[in-house]
Order: sequence, then C-alpha cells, then structure tokens
Amino acid sequence: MTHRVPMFSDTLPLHKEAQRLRWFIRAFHLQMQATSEETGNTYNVSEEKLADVFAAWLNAFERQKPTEAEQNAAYVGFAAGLMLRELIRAEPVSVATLSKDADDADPAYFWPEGYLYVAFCLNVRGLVLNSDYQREQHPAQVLHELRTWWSFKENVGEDPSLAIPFLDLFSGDEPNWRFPQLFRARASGGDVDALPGASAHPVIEGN
Amino acid sequence: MKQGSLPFLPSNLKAPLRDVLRAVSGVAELSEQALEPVAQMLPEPLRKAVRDSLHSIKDATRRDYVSRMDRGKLAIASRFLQGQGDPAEGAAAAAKMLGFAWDYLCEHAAHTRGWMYSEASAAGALRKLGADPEPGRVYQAVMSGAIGHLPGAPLLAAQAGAAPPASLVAASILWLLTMRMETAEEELHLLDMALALGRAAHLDDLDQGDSDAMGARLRSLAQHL
Repeated sequence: MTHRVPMFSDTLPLHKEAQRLRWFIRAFHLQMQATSEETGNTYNVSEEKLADVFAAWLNAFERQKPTEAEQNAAYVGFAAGLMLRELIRAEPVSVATLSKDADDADPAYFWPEGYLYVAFCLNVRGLVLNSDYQREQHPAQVLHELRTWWSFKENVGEDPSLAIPFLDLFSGDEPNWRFPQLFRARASGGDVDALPGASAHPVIEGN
Repeated sequence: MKQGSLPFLPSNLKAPLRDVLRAVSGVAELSEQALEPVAQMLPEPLRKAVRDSLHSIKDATRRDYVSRMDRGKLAIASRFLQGQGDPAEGAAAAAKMLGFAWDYLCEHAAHTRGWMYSEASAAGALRKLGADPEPGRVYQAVMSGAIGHLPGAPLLAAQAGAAPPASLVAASILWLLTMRMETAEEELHLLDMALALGRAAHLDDLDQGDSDAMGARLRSLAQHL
C-alpha cells in the first residue's frame, strides 16, 4: 500500500491537524489519488458522506479520549480503527472503473473500497505515530493475504466495530476481538482471542 | 430584457440595496418555479422572454463568488466573532459576510426556497451585541432579526435535501469562527464543509433558544472544521 499522505502543518502536531475536517478531506483525496495510481482503479467519492464520516468519528473519538497523556499513542491506533469503522459504515466511496488488470486474488481488487479505506487509515495511523510519537508502524503480512480480507469483509459486514481490531491486525498490533469498540478494555490489557470466525476460516497464522 | 442586462451585485453597494436585489432575485427564482406549469401554454418566444428576464434578475446576485469575496471584510468579520477589533466595523463586516455565505449556500448547496436574509437588519442586530459577540448570541440575533420568509412569495414545499435557514446561519457562523484559508477558492470549499459538518453534527437538533449551548457547540466544531 502506498504511503503518501504528505500533510504536515507548521503550526500543529499531526494528531491535532488530523482532527480537522479540512485536513481529513484533503488527505482522503490524496490517498484516493495514490491508490488509483497504485491499482489502476478509479473511485467516486461523496464529500457530504465524508463529512458524515468525520462527524461520527469525532463523536466517537471525543467520547473515549483518554485523560492520561501516556495513553495517547495507544489511542492513535484505536482512533484510526474508529475511522475505518465509520468509513465502512457510511460507504462514501464507490468504484468508478476497475483496472483492466484486476486480479480478484489481490485485496486491492477483491474489495477496492475496503482497500482504499484500510490504506488511508493505516497511512494516517503510521504518519501520526511516526511524527508525533516517534514510533514505527510495521504492517503485518496478513495485510496482503486474500483469506484475511475475505474474513475482514464478511465480519465487518455483520459488525462494523470489528474494523477496529482488524486494523490492529493489519498494522501488526495485538487486536482486541472481544470488546472492539472499547478503548478502556484495550488499555487494560484487553483480550487477544483469535480472529472471529477463525475456527471456520483458520486463515491467520501469526504476524 | 436580455439575460445579463442587470449588473451583478457590486461589492460597494450599500447593505439595504443588496437586500433589495437579494429579495428580487429570490422572488424571481420562486416565480419561475411557480409559473412552470403555466409556461407550457405560452408560445416559445414569449416563454423565452419571460425566462430570460427572470434569469437576468437572478444573475444580479450571482456569478463568480471567488471574485466577489472580500477577504479583507472576511478577516474583520472573523475577528469580530473572536471578540476582537472595532465592534461597529466588525458587526457591519460580519453582516456582509453572513449575507455572502447565505447567497452562496442557497445557490450551491442548500436549495432553500422562499427565505431571505437581510444584511441591513443583521448589521443592526449585531451592533446591539456591542463588544460581546459570543457566537450563540450572534446566531440568535441573526435568526430572530435578519431571517424571514420572502413577502408575497408562493408557498412551495422544501426540496429534497434542502437545508433549513437555521442550518445556513449556523454554517456561516462556523465558517467565520474557524481558521482562515489562503485563497478565495479554498474559503468557498471551507464554507461547503461548514454546512456539511454542521448538518452531520446535527446542529439543528440543539435547543435554538439556548444561546450558551449553541455557542459552545459552534466554538467546539469550529476547531474541527
């Protein structure tokens, strides 16, 4: 996935800048452009729906924002998962044209919209962690495995909150499958059970 | 009358005259919609003449929002909403920029019909706020003193997706409260975003009479625009 969201401000740290709708919309468009160049897919996007996504995300983000500064870095990962959940719920993007070379076995073509959402959330997550908290993100191999994407699409179709632990999984962090929408559960150690549906689709083999 | 024979709204026009043009343009818009069923019965040359006349009146307040935007006034209006600058000058600039935002949103996004914003009334109401133009009070002053139904306008059902006048006023205040952009084009895009954010955040659901709650919500949202 292309890492190209060059969105730094001279005045604010990135995690603050990313809490502005103007930044979100601009960054999303840049990601869409980068993903189109990478995959050959083109997309249509509704800015009204992006505003809905942002407002819903902001509500959820404010509700669980930790008061202790030492939890801020962990909250970046959770907030990125919340964003992925809201993108999947609102579906602001649709594919305009699929690449001529589309290969269904590649996640980028298996679920082009989902691929774009994950690319955006992972890239913003990585950028914020790197620029504001000096941490590196190391995406897991499962990010490129179709079977994981199959499970991802099916699970978030039933419960969009599962987007949060799936983003953790893709980013190489420990997912919390049991209480995915609760940051507190994660902050207190949470629960690192197997992927939902893992017994039916034993596709995750560590990361 | 040929299309475009009226000059478009000059920026140096006094507020009451801008209000007159705004009202005439609003009535022209509504008249065209109201006359649509009857127009079918007219011969085409006559129908075209009526249509061109109405369009030329509507064009008087429209066209090229980028060049119409007075960024100096925008900066003064923004400072007024932050409680800075000369209150009288700030109130006039805020009334003018709220009118600009109203016109733009009505035309581009809101599909609001039959409502009018009076810049002269808004300037008077905002002046009364003195040196304390708290956003919730600005919202209430404009809503109660400067927004009204167009006199004599036919009653038409709101179009699908239409934003109520309260949403337009809230979005315009949100726009004035937030950090400024570098170009007029970016400012217009920001105004679109302010409307989308205000609607997505359900500003309409707040108690319109509670200016403290409205002010706090507007200030908070402005930081995230």
